[in-house]
Amino acid sequence: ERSAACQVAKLVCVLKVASMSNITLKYFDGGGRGEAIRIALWHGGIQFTDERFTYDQWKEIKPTIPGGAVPVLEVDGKTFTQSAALLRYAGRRSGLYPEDLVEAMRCDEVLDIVSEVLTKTPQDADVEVKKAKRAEYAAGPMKGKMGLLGSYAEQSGPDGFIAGKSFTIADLVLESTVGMFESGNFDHVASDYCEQWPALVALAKRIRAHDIVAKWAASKAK
Amino acid sequence: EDPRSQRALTCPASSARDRSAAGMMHRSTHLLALSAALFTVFSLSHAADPETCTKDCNVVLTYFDGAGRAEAIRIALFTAGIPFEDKRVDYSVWSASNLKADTPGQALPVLSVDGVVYTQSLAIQRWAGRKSSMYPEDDKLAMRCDEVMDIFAEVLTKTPQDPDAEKKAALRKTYSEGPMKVKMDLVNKYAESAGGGFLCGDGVTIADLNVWGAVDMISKGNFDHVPATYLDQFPAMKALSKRVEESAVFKDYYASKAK
Repeated sequence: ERSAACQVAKLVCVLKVASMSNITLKYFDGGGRGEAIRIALWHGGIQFTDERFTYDQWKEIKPTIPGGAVPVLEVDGKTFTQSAALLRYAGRRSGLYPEDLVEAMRCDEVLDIVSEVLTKTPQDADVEVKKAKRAEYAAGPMKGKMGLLGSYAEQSGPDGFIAGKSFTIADLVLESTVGMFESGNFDHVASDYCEQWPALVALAKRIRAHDIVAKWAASKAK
Repeated sequence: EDPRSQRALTCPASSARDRSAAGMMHRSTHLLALSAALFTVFSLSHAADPETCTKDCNVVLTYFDGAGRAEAIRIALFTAGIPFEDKRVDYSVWSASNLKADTPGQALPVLSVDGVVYTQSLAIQRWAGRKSSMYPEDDKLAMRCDEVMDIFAEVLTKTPQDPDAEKKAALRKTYSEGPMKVKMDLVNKYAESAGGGFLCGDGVTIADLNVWGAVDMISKGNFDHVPATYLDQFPAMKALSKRVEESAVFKDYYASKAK
């Protein structure tokens, strides 16, 4: 009896998978610009192959990747690049993207602010030069952008989220960014950097405590 | 009463078709009675630029006086029939005053809607695009649209800068032959797949406007140390850009600016 039920369940599963999009996410085995996409797809119950590789493997994989950077998302044989584009797709399909147009604009804006902050972060082979450049960056342009995010966090109030009333992909990205500083993963910028924006730190905590994030963390721990 | 003068007072969103019908009605009524004097004064002040709002505007776009990162927004807002103040800031004012420091995000463009300010040109483009049906509804087409927009933004953001002109030229040569070419090749491939059409469906979307913007900037020599001939290796992109220039969306916008 159990085996018959299992067979039926397997058949249903196969039929379900066959009717859905064939999706593969390719990214490093770590957070960075891929984790929010994973969380959104997972939250939406969207089946996907989570192809992960190490930095060592990247050298060989890179020439096979359109645009030369990851993450990329393959959907039904077509490849799409640019993490924010992929995240927006995953967010729309999982109910984590605002329907209201101005809220969507704010959500998009937050994704782009974070992306710009990361992309413009100074790099230098010389450690002292890198340290000096980053100190300038953290006191200048980055402070302006993070301060703007802080003001949005303030505006959202004690129960709101970064784009408005609802939890969106922008919150996933925001929490990941604040977390990056807090865990000391932003070279040459102190881990208490975000404390000058209390509302931002408070929002990050609220996001971490959110059902979606808590359940994702629990599912990974298994 | 002339419906067009009413529209100008209340600034509602209206379609391109409504505007021209109202225009025709306006021209014929204004030949008539005493109230024509009122229309005349009103129409003279608004006829040149019916969609530009100059006072108490619900939507205000602030950018420099150039195409740059705002032209696609202007075109989309116009196409959507959204009256907006097209505020252009002189670059000398931007760098000399406190304007930059006081602007949220310390960069332009910014958009104000109902008194709330939004930054990031692509976020603003997407809002305007959705309002003007220039943003795909299909999830995968929207993802492709977003991807193309982001590719150009990344290419611009990562473009090397250097106070030394020779160093800048050298850095840009390496850049344009390397990472930038990888990205342009990808967009060119998408443009090829579009055949004789547009990138994300049947009509012009903001993705196509972004291709046009990049091609336009480089062909006009506005991308320092990257000559117009650079584009010859991306023929599909050039062809797509030309198709954008020949589109009704593009022509209507520039016709309105020429008045």
